[in-house]
Amino acid sequence: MRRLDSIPVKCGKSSWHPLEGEVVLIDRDEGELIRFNAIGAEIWQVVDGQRTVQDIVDHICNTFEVKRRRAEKDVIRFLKQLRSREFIEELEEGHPA
Amino acid sequence: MMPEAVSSIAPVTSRPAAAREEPSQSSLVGVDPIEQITMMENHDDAYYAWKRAGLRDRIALHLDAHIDLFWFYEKDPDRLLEARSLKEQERMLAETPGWNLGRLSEKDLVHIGNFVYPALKEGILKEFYWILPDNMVNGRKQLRLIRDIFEALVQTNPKEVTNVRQSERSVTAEICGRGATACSLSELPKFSQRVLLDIDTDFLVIDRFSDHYPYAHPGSPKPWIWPCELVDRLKQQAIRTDFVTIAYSVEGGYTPLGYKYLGDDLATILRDPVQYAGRRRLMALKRQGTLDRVSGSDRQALQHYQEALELAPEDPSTHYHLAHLWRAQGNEDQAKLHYRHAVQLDPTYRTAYKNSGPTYEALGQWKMARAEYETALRLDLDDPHAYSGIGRILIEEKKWYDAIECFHRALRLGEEGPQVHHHLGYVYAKLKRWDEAVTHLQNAVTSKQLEADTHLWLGHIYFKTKRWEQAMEAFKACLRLGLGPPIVPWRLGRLYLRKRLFYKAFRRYRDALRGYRRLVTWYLRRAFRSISQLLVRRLRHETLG
Repeated sequence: MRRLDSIPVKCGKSSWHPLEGEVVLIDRDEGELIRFNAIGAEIWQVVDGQRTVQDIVDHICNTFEVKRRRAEKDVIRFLKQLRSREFIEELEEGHPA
Repeated sequence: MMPEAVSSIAPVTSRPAAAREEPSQSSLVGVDPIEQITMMENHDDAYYAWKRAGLRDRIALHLDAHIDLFWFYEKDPDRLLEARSLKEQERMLAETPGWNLGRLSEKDLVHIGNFVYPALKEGILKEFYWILPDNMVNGRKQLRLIRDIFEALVQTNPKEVTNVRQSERSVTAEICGRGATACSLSELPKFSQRVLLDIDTDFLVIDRFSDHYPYAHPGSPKPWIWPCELVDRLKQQAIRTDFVTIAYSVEGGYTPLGYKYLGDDLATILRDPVQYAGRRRLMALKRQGTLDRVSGSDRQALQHYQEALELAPEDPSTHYHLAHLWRAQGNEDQAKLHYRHAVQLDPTYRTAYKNSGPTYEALGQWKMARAEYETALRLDLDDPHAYSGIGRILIEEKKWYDAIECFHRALRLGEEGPQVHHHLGYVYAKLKRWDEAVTHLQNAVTSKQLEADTHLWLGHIYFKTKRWEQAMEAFKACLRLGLGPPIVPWRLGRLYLRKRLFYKAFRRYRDALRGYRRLVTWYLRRAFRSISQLLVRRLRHETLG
């Protein structure tokens, strides 16, 4: 998830549900229940296989009071964590930023 | 405390006054005919029978030499996602310590060792009485063992199993908020309502926590209580029921095949105490035959079973006993003939548990097991289970090629696949013939009993042959199925590292290290205990000397 135009997509292996502004997700591989905080939940919910990382950063900037540079860094870091746990993968169509 | 011997039950026409006021749909055990009796091989089918009948809030009398009450993960983890608030979700998590996050099916989760737990949890049962053979709850020491079993349940499921208490004659606990009591038949309270009667045939045969527990004594002991005596004792307790489940439990080595018929006799007596009178002579002859055989009077036993055969020529158990008695007398032709008859009349008599081979195997007594399998082959040269059993013993002896031959022969003779394929896969893996090993192990995955082990071996082979993705899936399956020797997370950690999934790798290495630490602690404790026992023995010896 290093490129802003790459498109993340949920792997679909996990069940999840939004709850009081957070997201609760069952990681079946690791046998864990995971909670994302408000920002994580927002990012998770807009990962739809359509939006690029850039789109997600824009969405976060519009939803929360956060500087673009900071949002970009946090979104990319969070998406990397999601990918490392195999909750999301990257669609091939992305081009180098 | 042994029950008084009661040879038969006479049909009773008058009933105790208290019983007359009971619900009309129920029957007084040993007096009224019971219509609803479900027979089964595996005891967990009782749970499905209760479910199918739509039973709710019932008291169960579970007569069994084993507990069948182990806990397992909650079936539906998606319920967590239905919580309306985070607080509610936290409460759900606190109430149930584990969730079936790996999505194992009900078929995978419920088995003979735990089916009572979901029945309590789902409200089929509101109260549970585990009735043990008298010797197993006779005295404080025995009750302490029962209490230890309940305490072990608390360890695995502290939220659902509480208030374990030992009294003079019973052990009680609360399981899923419902009462559970372990006691003997004599200690049962008087019930004002009908109960579910759930009987394991092994209750009649296993009567102590011995070295070979949970299996029946491999030397075919005599039952400690006979069906008519059991029914009589239930009658004395004025038990009323409308639903009976009886499990044979031959598969697994709990009820010796020779005593499977006791379950049928029990059902016969319960089903119709009047008609049973017509079979009383047959039951008495078989009982006498068994007693003769146990006391070493094989000739008298033969005579009694021959008489039984005249009364019921189509009775497979009589043929089965005659086969063994003739074999002991050296008459192999008669033995084979009766064995064939037994199998023709009831094909389940060809089970792998028709002799004590599997029990001896489970106890690590390989020579005895081999002798049992060789005897089985004298009765039936085409017995696939015997070849399979000898194959397993050859694995212990590391005679890989001989084992392969035995397993292939078992397969050719129609041995049901998965277990044989599992062992064949294992042997081929030992010989580093990876492709053949994988083929057989993949055939074995359908075996519920060995599924986790099979995935473990598949994982090792894929790992050795550098099929990383497949190895990862196999090891993950192991963990999902609850098999987690430290090597599994260790190798998974390495596989995650290869994929640069550092966080997952870290977690798996951490799990592996914890596992190895537990293993080392266990070995150290065992070594310490052995050394202490040795020292105590030496000290005693010196003192006596």
